[in-house]
Amino acid sequence: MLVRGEQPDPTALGGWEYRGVNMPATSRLLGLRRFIKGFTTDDAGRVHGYNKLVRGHDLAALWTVRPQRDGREAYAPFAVAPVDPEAIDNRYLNALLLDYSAVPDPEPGVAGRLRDYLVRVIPSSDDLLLGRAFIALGSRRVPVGWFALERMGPTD
Amino acid sequence: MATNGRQFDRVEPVFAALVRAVCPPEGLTDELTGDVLAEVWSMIDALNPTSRAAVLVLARVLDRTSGPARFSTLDADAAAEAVAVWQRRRSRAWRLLRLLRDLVIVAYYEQPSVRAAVGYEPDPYIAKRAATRLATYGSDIDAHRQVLTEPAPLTLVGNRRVTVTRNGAIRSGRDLPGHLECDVVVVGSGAGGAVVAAELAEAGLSVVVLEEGGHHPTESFTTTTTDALRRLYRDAGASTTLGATPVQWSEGRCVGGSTVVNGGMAFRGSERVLEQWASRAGTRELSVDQLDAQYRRVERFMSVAPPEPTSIGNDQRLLRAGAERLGWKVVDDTRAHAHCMGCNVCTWGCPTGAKQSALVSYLPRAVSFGADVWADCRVHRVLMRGKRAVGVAGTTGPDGKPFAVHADRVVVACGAVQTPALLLRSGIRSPSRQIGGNLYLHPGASVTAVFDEKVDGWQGAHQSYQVRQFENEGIILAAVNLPPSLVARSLPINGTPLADEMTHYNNLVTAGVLVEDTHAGRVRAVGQDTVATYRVTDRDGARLVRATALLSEALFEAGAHTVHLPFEGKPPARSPADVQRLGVVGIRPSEIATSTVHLMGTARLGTDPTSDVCDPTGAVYDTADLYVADASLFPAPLGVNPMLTIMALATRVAAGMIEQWNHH
Repeated sequence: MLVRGEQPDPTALGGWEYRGVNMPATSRLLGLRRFIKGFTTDDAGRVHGYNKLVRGHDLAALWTVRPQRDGREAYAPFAVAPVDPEAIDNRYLNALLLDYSAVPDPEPGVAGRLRDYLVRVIPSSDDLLLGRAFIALGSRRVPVGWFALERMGPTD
Repeated sequence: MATNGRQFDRVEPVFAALVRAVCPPEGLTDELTGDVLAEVWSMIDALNPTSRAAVLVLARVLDRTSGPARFSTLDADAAAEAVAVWQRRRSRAWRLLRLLRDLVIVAYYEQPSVRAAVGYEPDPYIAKRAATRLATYGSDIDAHRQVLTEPAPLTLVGNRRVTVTRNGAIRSGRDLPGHLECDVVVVGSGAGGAVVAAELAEAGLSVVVLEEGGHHPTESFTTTTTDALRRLYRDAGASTTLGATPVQWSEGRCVGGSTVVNGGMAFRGSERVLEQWASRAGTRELSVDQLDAQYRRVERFMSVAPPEPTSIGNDQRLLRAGAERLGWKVVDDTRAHAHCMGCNVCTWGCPTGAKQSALVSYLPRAVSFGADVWADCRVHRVLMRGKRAVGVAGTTGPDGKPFAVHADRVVVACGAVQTPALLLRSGIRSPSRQIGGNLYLHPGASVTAVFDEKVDGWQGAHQSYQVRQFENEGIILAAVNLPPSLVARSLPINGTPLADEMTHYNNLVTAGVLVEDTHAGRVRAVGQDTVATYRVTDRDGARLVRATALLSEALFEAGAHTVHLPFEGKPPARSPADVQRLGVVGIRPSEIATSTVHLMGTARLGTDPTSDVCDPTGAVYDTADLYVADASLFPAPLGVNPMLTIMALATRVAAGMIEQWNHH
């Protein structure tokens, strides 16, 4: 599905938040099963994004934000761009790359090393997206898992 | 005896014994034997190193396994008996040793004195036909040449102007600088490469075409089979798939590619097949309606037309007559030709320029809009920066001088065997894992029919009609004249019996069948070699047998009294009943002498990157700026001669590239 998926339009993502679900079973143990991913567009037209933790892992429950220990709701920012065929992160040329290191202030620790590939599940629609996460360790890319995003609503 | 290379010195006595064994003894002087051996060596020398080594090993095996005495020491009778023993065994070993026999027979029947003795003297006939063509159709020919260089762009790139610059040229790779830069580099100058080059050059892009083979202009073509095989074909036309039923295949290796050595047949894909393609590939863009514009454009530049009435040979008329008496559908061939006069040496390069190969059509068009074509350049790999194609690298000339061409886009159009091999050697791996897979090749077989009446099949076009009665079964029948050397090679007899049969050369009709295959093979890159594996299934084998029976029936209906069949160990048929009995006896695929000149499907296009190699625009999945534009794109077998469809798809690829260029 990831190989067949279309590249989302990054400009169409800007201004929207998405409900996110991590697939791996370990995400439940780590309290990361549910999350929110938001996309914004800056004045120069570049698209960026952020993540928010969500309380609980019941998919049917309300999506309530769980702030970070330091009080922040949005954390782990990333830059959004079409995959560059010449870059190290070129595994899926049909995807968008969410690069957690390509921001002025990356999240410390593992979160700042993430790379997500994102594709449309439904042709021509950005309502449902499929993602695959990797951790960058030098030039190596270690797969973390799959996630799905469903459009939730406009950003605050 | 002449010595022809140290490698050959060691096995020359073996081949000399083979000459004694299989060539007609009458008139076989030492001088003629020497000339035959020289020809044999020149053919062996034209093979790739692996095949050449294999042939030399086979010769040594033959020498040591023919009995108590070495084969090379046997006199003519003993050597002939040794060959006959091998032949009677009909083993796999015989199939290999037969390659050596075939080399000798071809070399013998290419000797001018032998050709003349069987009544084949094409040169004066061709000279006369060429003169008639110019005298009668000179203004038509000039008018078509003008069409080829008149601007008619698909669309322009950005603000670039179309200029008929005539700054492009076809040059030898010996003069190629070590480094070039351009907008687009095209690897291969055949049906697909020439079209892409012309369309993109006309759109205003700088285009470099790299061709592995040499540049052989029209005036250099001869009627000598072995000369053509050496100069114009890859591996002297002797490539073979690996499998229980080896399929001999040949492809052009010269500027213009296989279009220089094909028969010029230019057929659109049938509605049935194109609908299957559209369904398989998941896109209506391959349907009859959608491809119509591309077909029409190509037909105009290639001067596609029915046969010139004065070019139709007696062999063609006989097959047509026989088929029509049986109530079968026969169609005129549409061919790419500007008043073909029926010289019947298409497959050795058209000596009059009538056949509109890429060499005389799309490549001059490309050059007129500024494209540069470099001959004798072997591309070893596509240069990649990450997953983006940024150019190609290779070597040129006998010294292997390295070169690199950097380009914004790379188009690979080397044909269905060399294209996947190049992609694989370049480290390109498609998500579908299908690069090199889905090799379809229209397996064919041929018969030789003997008539009482004089046929003179070599006086007439290569092919003028096709029997399409069984097209929906995936079977096409056609007459195709062969020169004496190839007829003799196909007959399972040697020595005096062969000579006797060949005295009837001008009473022969050679004809073949084409079967739309249902099972695919694979092409693999093994080091610098390329290996094609393919299996003729029982189902396709049965259709080959049926097709051969149908063809024979038509030829008997036309008046043939004998039909030599392509089935190992089976005697010639003397009546339709003999052929019908074959269906009862049963013929295994491995017993059919199978060959092809159509290879396709090994980088198939479609909308699913998990099962296809290229998207519908010809872009290779999971890469950037890399395209394929040849028969590799075919989603499935085409069922007819592929040239026109290759060119139509290449036109689509070029149009898509221009649109992409403008978009970015």
